[in-house]
Amino acid sequence: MSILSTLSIAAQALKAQQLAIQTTGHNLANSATPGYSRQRVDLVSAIPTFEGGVFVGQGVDVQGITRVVDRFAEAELLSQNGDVGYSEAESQALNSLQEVFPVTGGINGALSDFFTALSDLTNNPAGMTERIAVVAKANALGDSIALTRQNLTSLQQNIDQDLQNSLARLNVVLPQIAELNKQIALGEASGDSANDFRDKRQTLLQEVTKLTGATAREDETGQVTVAVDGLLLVGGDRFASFQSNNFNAAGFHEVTYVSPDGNAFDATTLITEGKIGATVNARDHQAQDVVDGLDQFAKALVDTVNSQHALGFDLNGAAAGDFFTPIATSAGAAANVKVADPVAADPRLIAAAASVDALPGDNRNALAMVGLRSANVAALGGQTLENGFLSLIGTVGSQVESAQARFDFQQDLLSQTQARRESTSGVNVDEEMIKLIQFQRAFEASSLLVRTGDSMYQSLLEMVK
Amino acid sequence: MRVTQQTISTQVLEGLQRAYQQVARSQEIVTTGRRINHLSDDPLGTARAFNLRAFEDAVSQYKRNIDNANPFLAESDAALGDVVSGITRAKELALSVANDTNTQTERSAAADEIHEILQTLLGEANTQLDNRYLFGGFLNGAAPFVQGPNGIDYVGDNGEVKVQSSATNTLTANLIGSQVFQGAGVTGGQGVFDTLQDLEAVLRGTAPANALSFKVNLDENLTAGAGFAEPDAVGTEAAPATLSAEADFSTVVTVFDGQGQAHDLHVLFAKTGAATFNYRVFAESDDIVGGTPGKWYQVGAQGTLAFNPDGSFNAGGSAVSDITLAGLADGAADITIAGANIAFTGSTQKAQPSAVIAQTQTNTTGLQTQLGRLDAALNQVSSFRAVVGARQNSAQVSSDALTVLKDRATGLRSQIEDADVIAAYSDFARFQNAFQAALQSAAQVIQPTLLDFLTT
Repeated sequence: MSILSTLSIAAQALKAQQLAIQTTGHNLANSATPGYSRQRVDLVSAIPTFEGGVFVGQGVDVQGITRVVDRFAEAELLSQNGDVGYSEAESQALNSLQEVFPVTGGINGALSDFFTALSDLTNNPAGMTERIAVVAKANALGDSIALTRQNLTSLQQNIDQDLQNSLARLNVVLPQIAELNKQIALGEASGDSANDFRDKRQTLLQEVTKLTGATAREDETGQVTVAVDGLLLVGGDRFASFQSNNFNAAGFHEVTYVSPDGNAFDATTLITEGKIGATVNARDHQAQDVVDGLDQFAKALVDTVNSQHALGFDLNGAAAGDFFTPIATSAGAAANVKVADPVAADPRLIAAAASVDALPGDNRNALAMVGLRSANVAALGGQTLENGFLSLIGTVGSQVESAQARFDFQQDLLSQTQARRESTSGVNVDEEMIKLIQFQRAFEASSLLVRTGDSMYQSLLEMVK
Repeated sequence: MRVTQQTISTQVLEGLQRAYQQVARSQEIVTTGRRINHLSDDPLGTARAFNLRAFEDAVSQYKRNIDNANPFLAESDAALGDVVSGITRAKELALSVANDTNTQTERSAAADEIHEILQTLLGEANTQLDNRYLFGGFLNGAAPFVQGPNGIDYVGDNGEVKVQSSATNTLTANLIGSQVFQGAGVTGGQGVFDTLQDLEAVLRGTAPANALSFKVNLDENLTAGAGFAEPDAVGTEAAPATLSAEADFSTVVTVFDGQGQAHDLHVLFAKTGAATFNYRVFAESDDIVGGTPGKWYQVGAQGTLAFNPDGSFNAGGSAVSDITLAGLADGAADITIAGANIAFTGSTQKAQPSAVIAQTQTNTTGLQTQLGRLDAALNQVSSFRAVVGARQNSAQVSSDALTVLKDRATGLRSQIEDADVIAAYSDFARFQNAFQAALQSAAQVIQPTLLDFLTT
């Protein structure tokens, strides 16, 4: 028990309060930093000494600075981020997909116009005006189908670009996680907590899970292993990367996975979750299905009209040829619906007549072509042309609706979990202000203690003067 | 639960975003006036609206088809009206000179006018509308009635120009000239032009005593049957069904006796080769004294016909015998038509399915006979005029029904895809209020912190 120990308590206290004030300041400074977890200085009373039969307090001790986190909420955030990443990308892609099909007009309107023009031809099978109108409306229908297909393709290209951006982002984030793994392992080897590194890594992990739906597991050294569907993304300070310089048959980028050991292979179908999974799915399935359906519709249209047209005779009395330029396979058919060149050049070649002996007044083949409007087409599953197209866009509409609902739901879930995390780890400015005042007062008191010790020394020294 | 500034600001941002989305969404509905602006707004409703719109388009088209057919029907009606007046005028003329006191000069003058009427009616039969001949069937690009060596020939076909008047029904826009003006395929049909020609000949006194002429279709698609099995003898009676079954095709020609009574002659043809035929002529036996009702009674020996490849008659290869109707039930004198006055011509004109496409019949035992034929022709044309009238009526009815149908479909579609404007606007106002309330509360809740109350 000495004046010196009093001064030493004061010094210790000053240091502790200063640290506390600094941490409060750190918290305040980061109150708006995304992913930041508030920190707390763990103050404990120092181990007392036993002097003269009593325990004498030895002041305050700083045990460490800990990060206030709800580990359960953090883990949940990671997995929910994967779901939100998937449904967000899906609903965005599908939303663009549905905008390709306007709710009025469009292909349906053009189809209706085409049949109307044919019907006008039945009223006057020899009329050139009517024939020219049929060619024009048929070409307009073809243009409308081709334009829709082109829009779908460019949508797929946009999605493809999106995929590349996601992969590029992964290539930035994964090395950073590996680096942080290393820093955390180094920093915590001594038993301290590498708080800010952990916050930063947590933010990056959220980004990775959002992109890929990956899972992260922390080992005893504090390093995380990040893997998705059997692909190791980060293990300790080693990390995988992605390349997108290979193309699949449809001309879109493949996702090439390069393992930390440098083995590269196509992982396009392996990542099924997160934003990347949704992007690949939207590009290769959801949009592609619509493209295929449109192609199928286009081929069915051309085949149906051509086969009826071929039964008739043109205005010159010759057996009819093709009305539309024939299409061999359904792949890419939607881009190629146009009136056959001879017919486009000379509308007299439209076969309105059913008999070569009944020209020019015979409208029976034109009537039969109008009848195709309500005919069931086997290539469209026994639906009419119009209904075949409607079921195509009906599917899109329903998909968008349910994807949107899924996204809203998962976004809500994520918000709740974020709120939970925030309620534990978030910085409350008021709270920090109060702590600031509290620590400031304690600091002032400790300063007073120094002065008291000082004057005590002074008194002792004056005693012996 | 611990609440931080970030909690509040996240909450405020999310709330504002949500409220603003609702404002934007209701604003879209108000400005477009449509409830469905994207496929996903109502996938089922979108499909139904598309279907209804297609239905409306189709209905409009049906209406347009009907509107298009209407002028043809109206023009046909007008032409047939003129034909009826022409025939009526011819009948008046014939009646005015029917007395024995009338001189040949007067009769010739009447014959001249009847010749003019014939030309006028020929013009009516060749009426054109919009470059199409009304009575030509499908072959409406050229005049369907032309002057041939043996009278006026029909060079049109049997094509019925149909347009769609509803999803399941069609409206026929034309009448077939051969039916209207030649009575082809019509029971007891009369040739309008033939009758007028014969009337003219009778009035001029140049007509043969009794004459029949037939035009036989040499269509190669017509196949030969088994031929006649009943015994061939004048006076043989047989059941009509049996005889009709034996024949490949047949026609009915009406002859008139001295008392102006009509008697039907059934002429049956059996094909025996590419251009050779057997034919037999039967009267209905209830016209004959002692005949069995319901049977037919053979009135001439079986004849044979041969045609040259160009359709002309090969007299050398043919045998045509006299037809005699004796013992008529009304007691009139016998009707005899000499083989020399029965003429056959072949035709390759494509007027399926009628095999005998035209027949003319002249019986000059009196003007009375021709008057009877004129009446029959008048009836025939009038009944076709009634057909046109009926079609015009049904076109009008369909057109009205289509208008109602379209209005109903439009109403239904509007219910599906159009916004309820009042509800949409009140929604908009409500969401806008909610948004403003969110903004105001946000402004108040974000501002104060402890800092505001610490005096420094």
